[in-house]
Amino acid sequence: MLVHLMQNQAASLILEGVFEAFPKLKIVLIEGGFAWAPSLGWRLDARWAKIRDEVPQAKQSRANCAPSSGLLGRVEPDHRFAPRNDRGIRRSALLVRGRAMTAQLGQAADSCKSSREKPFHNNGNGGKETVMPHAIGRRHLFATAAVGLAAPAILRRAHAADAAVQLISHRYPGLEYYADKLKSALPNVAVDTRLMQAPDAIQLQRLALSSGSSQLDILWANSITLASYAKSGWLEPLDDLWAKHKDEFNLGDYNQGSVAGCSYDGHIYGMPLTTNTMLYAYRSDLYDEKGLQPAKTWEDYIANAKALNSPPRRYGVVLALKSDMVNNEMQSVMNTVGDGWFDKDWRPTFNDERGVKAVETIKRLAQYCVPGFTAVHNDEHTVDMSQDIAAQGQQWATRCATMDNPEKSRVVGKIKWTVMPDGGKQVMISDTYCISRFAGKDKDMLFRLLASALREENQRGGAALMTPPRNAVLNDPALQAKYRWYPAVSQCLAIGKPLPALAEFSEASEIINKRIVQAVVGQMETKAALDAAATEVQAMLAQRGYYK
Amino acid sequence: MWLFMVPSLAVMTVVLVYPLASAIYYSFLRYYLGGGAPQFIGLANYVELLGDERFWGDLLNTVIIVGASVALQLVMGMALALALYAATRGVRLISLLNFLPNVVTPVVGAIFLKWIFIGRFGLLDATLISLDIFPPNWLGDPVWAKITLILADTWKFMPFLMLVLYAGLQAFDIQLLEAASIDGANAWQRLRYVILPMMKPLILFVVSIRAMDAFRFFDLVYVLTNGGPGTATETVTLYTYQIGFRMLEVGKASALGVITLIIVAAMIAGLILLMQRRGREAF
Amino acid sequence: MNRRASFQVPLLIALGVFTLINLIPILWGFLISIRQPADAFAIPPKLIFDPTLIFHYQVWIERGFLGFLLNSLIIATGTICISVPIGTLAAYGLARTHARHSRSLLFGLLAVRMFPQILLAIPFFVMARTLNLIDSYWMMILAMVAINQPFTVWLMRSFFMDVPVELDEAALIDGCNRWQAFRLIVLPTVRPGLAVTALFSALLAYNEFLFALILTGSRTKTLPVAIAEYGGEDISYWSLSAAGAIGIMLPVVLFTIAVQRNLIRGLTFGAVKG
Repeated sequence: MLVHLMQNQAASLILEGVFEAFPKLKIVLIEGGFAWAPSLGWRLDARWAKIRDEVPQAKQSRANCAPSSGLLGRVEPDHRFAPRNDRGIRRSALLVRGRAMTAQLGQAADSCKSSREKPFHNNGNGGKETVMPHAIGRRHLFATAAVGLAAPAILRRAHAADAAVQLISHRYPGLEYYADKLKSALPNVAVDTRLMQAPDAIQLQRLALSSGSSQLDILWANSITLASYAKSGWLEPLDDLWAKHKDEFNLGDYNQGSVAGCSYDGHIYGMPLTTNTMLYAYRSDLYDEKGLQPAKTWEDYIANAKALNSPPRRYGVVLALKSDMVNNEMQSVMNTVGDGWFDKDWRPTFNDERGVKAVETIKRLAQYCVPGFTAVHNDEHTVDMSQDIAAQGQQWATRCATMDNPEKSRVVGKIKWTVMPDGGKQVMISDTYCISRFAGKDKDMLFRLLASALREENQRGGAALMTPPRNAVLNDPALQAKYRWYPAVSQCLAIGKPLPALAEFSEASEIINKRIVQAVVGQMETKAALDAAATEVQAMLAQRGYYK
Repeated sequence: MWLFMVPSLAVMTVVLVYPLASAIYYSFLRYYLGGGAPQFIGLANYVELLGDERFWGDLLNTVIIVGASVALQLVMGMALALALYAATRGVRLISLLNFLPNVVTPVVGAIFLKWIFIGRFGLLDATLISLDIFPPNWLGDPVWAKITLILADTWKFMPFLMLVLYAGLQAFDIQLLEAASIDGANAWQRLRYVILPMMKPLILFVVSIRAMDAFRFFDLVYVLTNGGPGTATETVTLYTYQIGFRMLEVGKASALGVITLIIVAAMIAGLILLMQRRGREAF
Repeated sequence: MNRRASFQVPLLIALGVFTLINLIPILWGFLISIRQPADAFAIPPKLIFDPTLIFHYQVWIERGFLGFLLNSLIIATGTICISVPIGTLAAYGLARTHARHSRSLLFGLLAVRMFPQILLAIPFFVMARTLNLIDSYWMMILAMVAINQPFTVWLMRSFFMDVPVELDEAALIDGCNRWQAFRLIVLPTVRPGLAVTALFSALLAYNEFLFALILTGSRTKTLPVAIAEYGGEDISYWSLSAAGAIGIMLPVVLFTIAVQRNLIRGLTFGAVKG
């Protein structure tokens, strides 16, 4: 019954010339099955000759028709038009359209697509045909449109680096301060500064320097990277420029320790920014409460940690033993309890009897340490102190200001600083600005840029953020009074010790640090761990041409 | 037909093949990033690595961490997908919210998790301490550090599994379940004997995707534990990074990369075989 | 499935609680971004505090994160606009080829994606420097397109595999050429698949850190790089990176919402069918 109705509809649409009048029109019949469609098409084709007098509106003759199509029109199943029922099963659908379409299927399909987007009406009660207007919105090709969208964005791209001096630097507040000063140091010299975390900065610097890029002009370095870069021949020696501009910028005022920290193999390679060192920070209120004194020996240091240890809320000590922090934390104990890292021929001494004792000292100390110390760096260390989680620890001079800042600290005024036990020999490390050997700019100009950014008044302004390398500023009584950690910093700088001036120290320490941590957490026996480290380091250094 | 592939292949050839070929070439060199000309040393890097205890340890760590986290993700993702499938309201909102961890920038996600797990002042420890519970050493204990990384990885990637499995359930013919119900199957039996077998190809698919991603497991470890304590959570990728950018041995690091590539390729080939044996077109 | 009301209520509560727990790291990140560090890391956790927007202000206004966000969006958009069209073409080609090794080729490509990316950093840097394209959007977009390409092709191919080949054949018989059959008949049917692919391509490009660090400069720096710059060294940097982290999520969330409907549909009828 339904099928007859459908056939009637389709036949009358075709025979009465609807598609002659509207060649691009398409009509969909749904919910009527489709098995009858081919036979209907065949019958219409076959009977047309006989009934053509009666259907003058259907004009086409057989000869004009594409062989695959129905003669007068097409009736074909097309599931794309079929609505789904509530079980997700497609209902049947038929597409009825004029035969003229076969020649222009491109447009047909396009209009199919447009009409498909329109909602179906009456799709609940089958049998009714739905007439859809043909809307041929010739669309741009997808790709063209997409690229068109992107083009304005891409064209906005900046031109490659041009006149500006390029700096890649580590980022901490003191370095942000000087990066800012660099921008206004010389008139008509623009400086493009990129500041980031140290490992990223070093990685980028190495990529640029190792490929001899002229797009890096000045760079931050610390004593360790400076030695490494200088040995590779990537840094401009500054001795001549230093002498030339000595008077103009009063370079004689820099303290000798800082200048030594910027030197490698007898040449100056950097302009000192600061010399950082680690202070013995302790909670004076807790010490007073328990009647403790700042430790004079490492044994006292451990005893104090033990006395103040009350887990889980507060621990006796804080250590930071994540990657490169290990050698900073270990420097003091390795130089006082131990014999230092290397002898003068760069043979390891850290694994001798005293070295083992030094590591064992830290291992004992670690019992009273805030948990997770192998996963923390300076920052977490600082939070532990400022949130009353740790009672003592080695703290960088650059972190002291945080302790007295009520927005960052809950122990304002309660921290005191002194020197590490057993005569200190704790870590000292210089931060410097260096000039790349491959710099694309005039090196004299670059030197003057650095020197004027680091002039005395700027150093005075940055004194809260980092220890200034100029004697005139460091020893200024006004500043010593203003920043209560300055006296301790001065004392520490007097007894501190730089890390070994080995160009490969960062690689060596990568090996040593891993093994030390394995010993401290008990993953390996201490002596075995240090011996393994010594073997690996010697193999590495031998490969680099040492011990010949 | 090949014409369709030309633009894509062109871009890949120009931009991907050169770096990849260089990296493979580096693996045959002694290439020290601290200066000096690279020197051809044949397979020495490979020999050295395959004899390196630390490499095998890291491989084991990777397998343990990723294996456990994928298993956990699968169970949780499946449970969530089923719950979403059963729920009648709020499905869109809930699935969107739970999907968020997956779209968070990896670096950022790792920082967020660090603020949760970090020793004592992280949210987790701070809360436990306030409740008078003695917290475990999340990042500093060799076993707990692994568990923490597994949890972290699960947080990041479970949403992906949830969504894929949920999508799979959507395509599922509900009549099968109805039939099982009528035949007297209880909820567990329906899950065990109807849903899981139907979802098997899909489960294999997501597991293989995650397994391939396993060797990209980097950001979370780098930020949370940096492989510590000692080498307890060091993964192959982290080791590659350390050799390449800390030890500056680019040649050796590249060799490790190639080894990783071979392992991954072998794994994929194995999975394809598994699929084909089962006669299913899951890919 | 059990859809009774008595079952729905506990189910929804359970789902709600889980969702909340799942979102804690993000919510906590947000709380850190609106508190001074002294409050943010206190024990016990401090939930009552004076909120401050100073870090959000500093990040977006003073430290130029808006510009970095724009850079990220440009790179993500550029990547989609190149990667998805060419990947779709290739996927169609592969899906309709009976070459026996097409699948192996595909997995070969996918395995390339598993190659540790840090090792590609050096060649990419050298290439960018040679072409003088460092600190330009082009290099970054090209790199992202290339790296995404295997995944895009692979994902789109599975969508095309799901479209019956008869559809193409019908179009060809009706007089379409291959291009027309693809463009006018097959492509419109995989639209949800395009949405899924676009989402994943965009995410990969938008979230990329390592290549962005190496290939962009101060003019084209992207948001992940900018956030990582404040990863450490001073406690207030943590608050800044938290503020940046919350900001970086917003466009992604909006985009995910926009394609969410397609996402589930796309996954349903495409990649994941057994």
